[in-house]
Amino acid sequence: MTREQTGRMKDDLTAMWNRDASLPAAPEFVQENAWVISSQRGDALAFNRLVLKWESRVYNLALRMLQHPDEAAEATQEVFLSAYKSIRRFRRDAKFSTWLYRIALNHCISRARRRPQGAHFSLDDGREGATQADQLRASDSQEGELLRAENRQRVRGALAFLPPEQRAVVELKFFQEMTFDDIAAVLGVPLSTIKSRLYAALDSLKVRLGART
Amino acid sequence: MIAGCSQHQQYIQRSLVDDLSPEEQLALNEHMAGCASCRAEHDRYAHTLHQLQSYGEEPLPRHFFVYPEEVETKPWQLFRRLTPSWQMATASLAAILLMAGVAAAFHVQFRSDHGAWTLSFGRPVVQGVSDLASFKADILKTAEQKNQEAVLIWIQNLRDDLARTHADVTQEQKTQLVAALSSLETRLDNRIALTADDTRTATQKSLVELYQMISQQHEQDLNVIDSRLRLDADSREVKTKQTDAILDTLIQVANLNLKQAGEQK
Repeated sequence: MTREQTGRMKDDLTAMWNRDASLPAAPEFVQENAWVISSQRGDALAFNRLVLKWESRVYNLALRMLQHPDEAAEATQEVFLSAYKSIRRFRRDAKFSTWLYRIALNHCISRARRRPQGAHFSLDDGREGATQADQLRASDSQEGELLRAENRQRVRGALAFLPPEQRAVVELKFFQEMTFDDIAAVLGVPLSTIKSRLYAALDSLKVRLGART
Repeated sequence: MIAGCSQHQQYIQRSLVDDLSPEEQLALNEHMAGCASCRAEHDRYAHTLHQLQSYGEEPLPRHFFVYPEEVETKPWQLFRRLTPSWQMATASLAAILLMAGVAAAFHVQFRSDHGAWTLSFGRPVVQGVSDLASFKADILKTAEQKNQEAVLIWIQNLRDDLARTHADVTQEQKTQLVAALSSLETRLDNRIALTADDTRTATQKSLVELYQMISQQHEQDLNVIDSRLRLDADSREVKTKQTDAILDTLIQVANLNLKQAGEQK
């Protein structure tokens, strides 16, 4: 990075702090913004630092939305490519994660809609099945992991019955722990719609997950 | 289930996502304290949420780094990566170029005729066609100018050729060529002058001939008119004489009749 680029970044950060003095002085936040600014100037390395930070969350979001590990991996790669191409249009008036989740959810909803009706979703993908078989022969200390894997399967199975729009709201509310206002901003729909989708989704999920085993 | 359960069951979902006012939450708590059915419903929702929240994270199968060379660089994608202001500027420039191309292809012209702006397709119509004489004169003048220009260009080309071969010819050849060129130029000038004189003489001759022809024609016409007038005069004289003779005869006849009448008395 040249001295001129470094100077510009400093200017941008100073302007950002002056614009909103109430922002918390969290080093992580500053660091992420510095990476975003560098990415907007075409620095692929800086963008890949953002990828490293957010890829696990985006992948798990895609997995819960699409149900299939291979498809989720493919979608995650496409989401980051899309974000890289359009990061110059990110105006930094919202959180980077909000902007990234919006891309990811739109991408996953679009994929889910394109998928033919009755298309398969993996409740028992090969990797996890093998793990279970191994775990059945394993010691008691691994029993907890087995239970968590089963729980993940049950949750993904229940989510698969939800329409993509309801799945997106559940994803943001319970897995990304966003507020209703943030969810409305990410999905670009009114708050009342968000709540009605969430309560309808909770009704469906309660039928499949509510009973104690 | 007791009275008011249906209303409070709506509160159960909302209470689990902190979407109740303190008053509503208090009312729900009081209701659930005495309603086993609603407590059970609350437990089912709570268990559902617990399972969702204990989902955990799946391990990553791989990293999802982006390599710039993977990013396609089609013109449209480059355009989308521009900031809105640059997008606007690029789109405006493209639109102007497109309009200019279309205008050039269809010969679109903006013209100011007598103070009024007009837009037309194709080449402009020649104005003043009604004034045929001046139009012909313009054409002849233009043709003459073009002819003179062609001669001048030809002479200029000769000069250029001479200049190009300047290094290859001797001084004597140069002198001869310059003299020949000057002679040629003089001859051409003389020829143009002679042609002009010839044209002037021929024009004068034509005018004289035309004048003579018109004079002759005028003289012939006068002679014809004169002869006709003379014939008319002769004819009138003959008729007068005949009338006089008839009147004399009638008078003589009348006198004879008077004499005969006197003798009879």
